[in-house]
Amino acid sequence: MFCHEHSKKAENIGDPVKILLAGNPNTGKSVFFNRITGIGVIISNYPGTTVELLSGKTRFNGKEIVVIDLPGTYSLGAGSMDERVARAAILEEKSAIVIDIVDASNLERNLYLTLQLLELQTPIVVALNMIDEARKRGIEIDHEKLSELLGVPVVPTVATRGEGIKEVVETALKVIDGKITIRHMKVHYGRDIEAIIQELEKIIKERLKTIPRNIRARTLAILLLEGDPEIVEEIKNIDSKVVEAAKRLAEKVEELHGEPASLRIAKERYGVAHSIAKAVTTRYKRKTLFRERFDTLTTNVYTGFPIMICVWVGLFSLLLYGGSFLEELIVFGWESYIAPIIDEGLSYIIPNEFLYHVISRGLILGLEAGLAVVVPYVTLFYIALAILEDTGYLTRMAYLMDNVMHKIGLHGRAIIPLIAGYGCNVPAVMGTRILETRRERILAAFLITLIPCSARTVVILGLVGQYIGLLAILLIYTLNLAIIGVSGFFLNRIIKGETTGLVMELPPYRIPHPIPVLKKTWIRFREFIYIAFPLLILGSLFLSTLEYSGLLQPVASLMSPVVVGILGLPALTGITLFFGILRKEMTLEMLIVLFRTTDFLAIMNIQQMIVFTIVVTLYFPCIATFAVLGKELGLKTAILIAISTIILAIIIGGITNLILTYFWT
Amino acid sequence: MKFKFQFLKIRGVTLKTKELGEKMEECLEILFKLEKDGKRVKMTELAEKLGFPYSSMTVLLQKLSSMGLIDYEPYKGVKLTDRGRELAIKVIRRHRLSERFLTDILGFDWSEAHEHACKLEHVITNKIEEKLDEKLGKPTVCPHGNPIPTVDGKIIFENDIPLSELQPTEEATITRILDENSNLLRRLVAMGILPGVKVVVKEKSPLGGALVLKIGDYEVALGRDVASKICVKISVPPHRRRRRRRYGKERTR
Repeated sequence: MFCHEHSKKAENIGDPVKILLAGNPNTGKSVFFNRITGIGVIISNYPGTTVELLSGKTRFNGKEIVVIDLPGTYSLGAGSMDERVARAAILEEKSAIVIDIVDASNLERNLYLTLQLLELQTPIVVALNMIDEARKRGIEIDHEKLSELLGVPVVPTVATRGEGIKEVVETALKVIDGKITIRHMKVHYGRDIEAIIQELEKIIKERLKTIPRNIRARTLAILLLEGDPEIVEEIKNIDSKVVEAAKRLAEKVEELHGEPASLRIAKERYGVAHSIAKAVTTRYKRKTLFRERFDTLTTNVYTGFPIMICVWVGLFSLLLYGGSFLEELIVFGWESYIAPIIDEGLSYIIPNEFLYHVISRGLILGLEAGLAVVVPYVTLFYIALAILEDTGYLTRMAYLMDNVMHKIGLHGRAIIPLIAGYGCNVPAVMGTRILETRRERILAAFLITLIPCSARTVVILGLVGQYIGLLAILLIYTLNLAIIGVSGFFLNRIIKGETTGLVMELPPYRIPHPIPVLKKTWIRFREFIYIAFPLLILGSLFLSTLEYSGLLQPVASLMSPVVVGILGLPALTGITLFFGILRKEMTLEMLIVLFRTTDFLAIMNIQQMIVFTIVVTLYFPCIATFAVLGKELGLKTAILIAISTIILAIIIGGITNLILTYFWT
Repeated sequence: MKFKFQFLKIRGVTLKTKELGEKMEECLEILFKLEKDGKRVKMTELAEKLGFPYSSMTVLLQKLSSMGLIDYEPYKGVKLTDRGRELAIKVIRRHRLSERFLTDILGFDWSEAHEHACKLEHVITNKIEEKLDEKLGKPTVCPHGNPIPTVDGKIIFENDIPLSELQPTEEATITRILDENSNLLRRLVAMGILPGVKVVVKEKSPLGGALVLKIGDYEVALGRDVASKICVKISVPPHRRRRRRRYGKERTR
């Protein structure tokens, strides 16, 4: 998307205008994006990374506009992948205009990014967002003065109500057409820092004929002094002398000020941001908002944990009752109305009886699997997750759970994908992207595969719940949590790599806006369908081929040493476990199909049920999850995780079987 | 301090007593900063930081050595003696006091303060130092958040405690970030957590849990491990703040 040829083309008249949305996280950037664009949003990974960029098209005054939503970042240094991508996109899209979305209730810190954008000399328009929110907090900002100081247009907006959005886009277009000229404010540093910057600038101008990505010499000098890892690496390959000079000068700064050059420069940039913010802000006295009082309750030790538990219970009961109700509805509708039509249609089209059986069964079961799990559970879960996310509650939960997560080598933020795992492992694994290091992502992804998703919950409820009781369900869940805890504890010791701590903004509580919530749900849902559906259908076709060609029996007998010998289960359950790879609740459905009865007591005794349930919960993280693991972490890691879970399931299942045999009989 | 040796040739220019004194003081100051882990400092390194030609260094170091301020062994490097360290701390004290004076009283921008303080530190007498300290209200940190050594030459870090030790409602100023991991430092700086910034601990989870910091208009959750790497100086202890809050409530009633 950002290749060079393309950006050249974009300069021609008639090609769409590109608008990049930059800004801190929690500034209403996604609401802003959704307000500009319609439903046709494309997610693409930035080349070579897992960082997602959303892009959408819109028409404005007869002009076609492509809007790209950059990842929300606090700065533009290449500290994280997100920042790297945001900066790379801005530097590569020379013809594009950047709309910098600034939170008016938190101007000073937001201006830090704005100043860095100004230093890059890209054309920008500042959208001073959430002015209503700022007013509620007793803050009034003189946007005209801000515009004068920064030298770029500043438009006040309230994105949630759509106020000012049109004006921002209009202003951006005027800047592109040259109707408004931008005078980038020069960020002035202290005199001695300035002298050093100028010295390095001179060296850069002398030694480098062209600077990659058209960065100005002054900006490059500042970036090098800050020791920006990406830029330093890039320049080192061109002329290592420049980097050496920068290093020497940075040391000089450190010697002068007793602190690293990067910190010094950041400090002074904050100083500039502070003085600008101070000059344009008026503060009034105001009352404590109800939301703020609630905020205190949710982070307080004594009230925070009970509230969190209530939220969890609410979330899971919604999934359990709401989800299973919807599932039954869909399965009933599918099996009694749609499936027969497909079946009949296929029987006309395909003359070969064997092929017909394979395809019809595979297709119908595969589609049903997708519809029965995806539509009810995943959609509900996504909506709930998006609401929790947009209110800002998830960050409070992460804060409260930080301590616990540290014990398993993660930090608070990992709780978000882990909770998502209870809905469905697929989006949960995708959600590990919010973690900083690969080590943390692998760890979290592994633990997610052990979490009983909604499909596994069906098995737990259907077998243990129905035939043993509530206490047994709780026992299984507790055992599962213990297994996750212990695995995390050991994995933390085994997997090498960097650990990071929790540094996370707690945005003020906000009332979620329905459009972004639904859109977010739809985008995640769509991504899930792309990955899961084809696999479900393919896997289903494969299994039905095995079934009809009579290969199932030999496979089952191959597995019997483990299934019968170690786990003490009936031999035929091995086949159902095979189907469980496709979708965990199929283990239950296949039991019915294979044994031709719905009375599970006729198939297994209580002890076997418990072992069977435990094994189903732990072994192989279903084919869709496996595919996502492969996509996110690489095939090797995915295979390793899958094998580990199978071994874990056999060991835990075997031990449970042994213990139960001793104490039960 | 007074130096007996009157002449020293640097870059062919003969320095007068005053200038020589300045250079020597600066040399001690830099040595103090470089020496931190107790190892000998290489002469080349010192010369580079001081902006001195290598040839003049030997002379300068010999003089300092003969005055018993440094322990200088050719080819091995330089080390401060106890007396040298004392003097170095005194210079640092004067430098940081000057910075405070420049920013607090003369209204200099704190980014400029350092440069001017470099000149000022050498002309301050004991008497001026004393008066300055008084006038400024005995400050403990310079505008950049570094500690000002006390009169008896101690660099107080007693008020400088890890952020993780702070109790809820306590207000503090960040003094240092102990960064082993520059990536962490970058993340903190990007979120506005850096020396000189005022923070209030809003909540603290028990049993080594995370804490919520209020920084200006926003809140940040920090893991206890991260918080233990940030040093702060308490500015408002918890009880005072609470009392103030109670008064406020009564008044509104």
